[in-house]
Order: sequence, then C-alpha cells, then structure tokens
Amino acid sequence: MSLLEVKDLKTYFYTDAGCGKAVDGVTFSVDKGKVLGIVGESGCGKSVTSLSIMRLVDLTTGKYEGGSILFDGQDILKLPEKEMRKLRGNKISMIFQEPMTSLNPVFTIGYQIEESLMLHKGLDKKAARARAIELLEMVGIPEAGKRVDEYPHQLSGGMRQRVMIAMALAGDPELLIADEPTTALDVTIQAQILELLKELKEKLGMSIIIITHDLGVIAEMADEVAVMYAGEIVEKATTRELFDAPKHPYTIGLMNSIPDVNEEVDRLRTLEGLVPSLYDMPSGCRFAPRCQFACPECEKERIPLKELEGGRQVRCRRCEQ
Amino acid sequence: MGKYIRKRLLQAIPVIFGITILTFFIMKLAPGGPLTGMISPRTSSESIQRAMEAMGLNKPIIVQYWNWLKELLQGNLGYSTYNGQAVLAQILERLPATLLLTVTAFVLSFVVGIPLGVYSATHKYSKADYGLTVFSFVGISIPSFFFGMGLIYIFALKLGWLPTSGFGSSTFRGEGLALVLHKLKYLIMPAAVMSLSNIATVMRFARSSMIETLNQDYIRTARAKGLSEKVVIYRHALKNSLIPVITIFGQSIPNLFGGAYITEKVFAWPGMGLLGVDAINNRDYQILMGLTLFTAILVLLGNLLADIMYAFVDPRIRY
Repeated sequence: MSLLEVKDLKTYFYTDAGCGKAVDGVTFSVDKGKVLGIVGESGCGKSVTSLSIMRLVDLTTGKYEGGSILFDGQDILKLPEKEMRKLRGNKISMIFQEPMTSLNPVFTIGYQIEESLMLHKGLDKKAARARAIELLEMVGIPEAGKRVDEYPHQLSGGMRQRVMIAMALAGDPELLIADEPTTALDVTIQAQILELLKELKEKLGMSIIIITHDLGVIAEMADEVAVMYAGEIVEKATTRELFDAPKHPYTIGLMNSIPDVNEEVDRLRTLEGLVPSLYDMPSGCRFAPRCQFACPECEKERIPLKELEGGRQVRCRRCEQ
Repeated sequence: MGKYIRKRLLQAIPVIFGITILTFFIMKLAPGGPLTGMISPRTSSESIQRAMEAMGLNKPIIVQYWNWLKELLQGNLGYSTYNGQAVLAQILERLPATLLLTVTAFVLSFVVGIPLGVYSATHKYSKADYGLTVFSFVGISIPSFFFGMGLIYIFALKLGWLPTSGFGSSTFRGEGLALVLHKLKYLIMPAAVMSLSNIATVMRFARSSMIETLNQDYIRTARAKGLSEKVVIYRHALKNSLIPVITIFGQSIPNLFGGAYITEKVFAWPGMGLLGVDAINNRDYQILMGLTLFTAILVLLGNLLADIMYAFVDPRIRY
C-alpha cells in the first residue's frame, strides 16, 4: 500500500494578476521506504506541491481547489488544523532549500530540536536534550554535546542543513519531504548531505520525496521520478527508465542540457523559451510553445497523462501513436 | 556577555568627555551671556567688569572650560547665575518628577505599542489593522502641546475628572495608597501626552517588523514542526521582530527628555523640563549647562541599556 497518495491535487493562488494555477491536477503516490523525485524548473509547482502536502500554503492568497492527499489512507486536506499540526514535524516532516535562513537565529539549535521532541514525543526538557544530542550525532555533527548549545550563526551551511535534518527526524517521520535540500550548498557538501539522506532512509525505513531541479540529485537518490512542468506532471517513470529513454519532449530537453563530460562543446545546449506564466497558461499542451515537435493539434486541448506499457506515464500526443 | 557590557561601559567614557566639550562650547556660542539677564542700562561698566572677573568670564575660553571641567569632576556643576543655588541640587530636586513622568511614558510606549503592533501585523489588512494605522498616523502627527491642551480642556475643564496641572495639591493630607492615587491623577494626562507619539512609533515599527519576520524562512520551519500559530508568533517571531524595535527604544529616550520640556511646561509639572524652560527665560547658563550635560548622560545610559538589550535578544551580537 502506498504511504502517500496525491490525487488530482489543485492548488491555486488568487492575486490581483488573476488566478494562478500553481499545481493543476497533480497525481502521484509514494510507497513505504521509497524515494520519489520531483524534478522541474523554477515555478513549475514542485515546491507548492510539497507545501500542499504539509498544508503550509499561505491561505491568504492560496487555496486548495480540489483533489485529495491521502496519508496512511486519511485525507489530510480534510483534517482540522489541530490534527494537521500533530502530523507536521511528526509523521510528515520537511527540510528546506535555505539552511542559512531556515533556522531561527535567536534560539540554540538544541532548543529548536528539543521543541519538536517535547511537542510530538512528550519528552521532558532533560530527556529531549539527551535525544537532541543523539539526533545531532546521527546526522553526523561532531562534538554534538557541545554543538547543541550553539546558535545557527556559529554553524556552516552544511552543518545547518544537518541540523534541519535532525530536527525533521525528531518525530520519527514516515515521510520526509526534502525541498531542494542541496541547492544552496557547495558541491562536496551536496554529496555528503545526499549520502546522509540515503543512509538515514535505509536505517529508519522512511519514505522521501525529494524535490529538485538537478537531475543529478534524482539519479543519485530517487526510485521513481515525476517531471513537472507548468503545474502539471508531464512524465512519470522509474528513475532507470527515465534516464534510459526519456519520452516527453520536455524531459528529453532537460536530459540534453546536461553536458557530457566526454564531449567537448562550445556552448551548452539549452531549452529555448520560458516557462509560461501561471496566470496565462496555453490552452492546449503547456509545453507546446517551446516544443520542437509541436503541431497545431497540440495547441487545441489539454493533453491527458497517458499510461504506457510498463506503467510509466507521459503527457504528450506524440507518445500515443 | 559580561565582557560585552564592560566594553560598552568603557566606550561611554570618551563619549561623556565629548559631551562636556560640546555642552560647554555650544553654550559659549549662544548670543548674550550669563550677565545679560542681570544688567540694566544703568549698570556701570566697572560693576560688569567686576562681575565678569568674579565669574571668571574674563579668562581665555579654554581656561574657563578647564575650570568648569575640574569642578565637574569633583561633582560640582556650578551655581545658578539667577538665584545663586547649586545647580546639581536644583536638578536633583527636579529629577524624581521627570523620571516618574518619562519612565511611565516610556513603559507605556512599549507595553501598549508592541502588543498593538503585533496584533496589527497578525491581523494584517483587517478593519482593526486599518483602525490602528489611522490611530498611529494621528498619534505621530498631533503636536504634543496641542494634544495636551486638548486633554486639559476635555478632562479637566469640561468633565472635571482630572486636575489641570501640577503634581499634587498642597492642601492634600492623605497618606499611603490615597496619596499614590492622588498623585496618579496628576500623572495621567502628561504621561498620555508624552507616550502618545511614542506608542504610535513603536506600534508602527513592531507591525512592520513582525510582518517581515513572519515572512522569514525560519517561521515556515517553525510551522513545519507542527507548532501552533500562537507559539510561532509569540515565541519564534516576537523575539526576532523585537530587534529593530529596540533601536526605537534607544532613540526614544532623547525624544522623551526633549518632549518633557514642552509637556512639563503645559502641565506645570515640576520636573527638569520646567526647570530648563525657566532657565532659558532667565538666561541661567549654569543651570542649562548642567541640564544639558545631565540629560546627555541619561540618554547615553539609555542607549547603553538598548545595546545591552540587543545582546540579550540577539545572540549574533553577543558573540
């Protein structure tokens, strides 16, 4: 059984510019102990998807317009806020892109971890502190017993991301959402953090949704991949299938823009054009304006996500033939 | 922490020295002089000369400063040129009344201003928020003497609830709690006048700072931990949003002492402000110099306190 099932999720934003369909009918599931990668450019709706699962979308402008998110069979979009808070940071936790700014500068890292432990595990101050030190050791922070009393500004970016992970692990989560966990870090630290995430996944048996724009991270981490474009999933496959034979023109474009180390090129290949504005989506295939295979037919109506043999899915007319 | 405070205290010493120089020479630059208030067209030039010698005014200005500073270091602020009394004694006599008024106004500004600002920020664009924004706009714009006279007109003259001015009636014979309540009635209006614009300023700062803080990544982290909105706002956001408000804390101290001149005059409040206004009218240079120096040191101490508070709130400054 799947741990998480997202069905036809729609998260829209209403602003002066109109209705922005940031997430428009997204469906996927994550099995226990598996890693799902969501990949796409900035603004494709991948972060809003993850915030929707946490129910952390800013509701002053945003709205969950439809669909369901089943976690352990329970639709969390229907949960009262109080029940949702019991899941957040507990069964479902999240780490963010910016470790430099994601920790509160005025509290010690120990306090910030203990807070979660006291809230979700009902530990007292002393037990929480002991457990916090344990967690810090688990995420590979040296001298955890000393570091526990330090403030975020005393730690490097990589260390802070480790603290964020320790904090996310406080509730023994079944699902960890990692939103661009390595984007803000330099390359050697990136590899360390990914290694740590993999190791923790094996040890704790949790599922992970990893959100990134970096196909390298996907290749490293994910069992399955969903490629998002302009609020929709355009292709879904196992990581192996996707890298072996990308089907959607957008995925192909993404793959082609990865430079080959064995090949000497003067210019990097890129995808021409820009992501369409959330407020002004093409009525047909959303990728058509940038697609080199597009024909007039593509722009007529929305393209459904079609299942191919072997269970992989693609949203392209061309692949039906 | 202790090291930080010691460092700040040591830094204050040269600043105080600078203040004495400024105080002394600005007073010397002012037109007229201590004698202009005492002489009439019929005063002979010999007696003016004698008076100047007696006061040491015929000596070079540097020597005058040196003499003044020497006395100052021994705790002697000189004697009033108007009534001959010791300046320090007169200031100390007025100090409690002024401190009562300014500290009350100061505490009110923050105790009222911060919660209003936080409420305003967490209820952004609601009717209450708009109402508070209008209130703060009015509070900052209204001149204190006008507001003071308005209050006197309404609450003292028309309604008769509060006394018009002063600090206690000479015929009142109560003791203990009755005395406190009696004095309190005199305090209400001047404290309201002094704190109004400060409340408004603090509120606006607290509001914008809170709104900014609530948009920070670490607030999203706090929410993602499953903390309730109350804990997110009052524990995670409030402490961070107070950092810029402390700047106002430091800045509002000179404003309050400056404002005390006008407010104390309007309400005939027997404090340093009133002493200062009278000293200006009497061309009482010694008192003015004493007051300026005294106020400057109080402001310095206030800023020092603000710096120490910064360090308490923000660990990035402490280390």
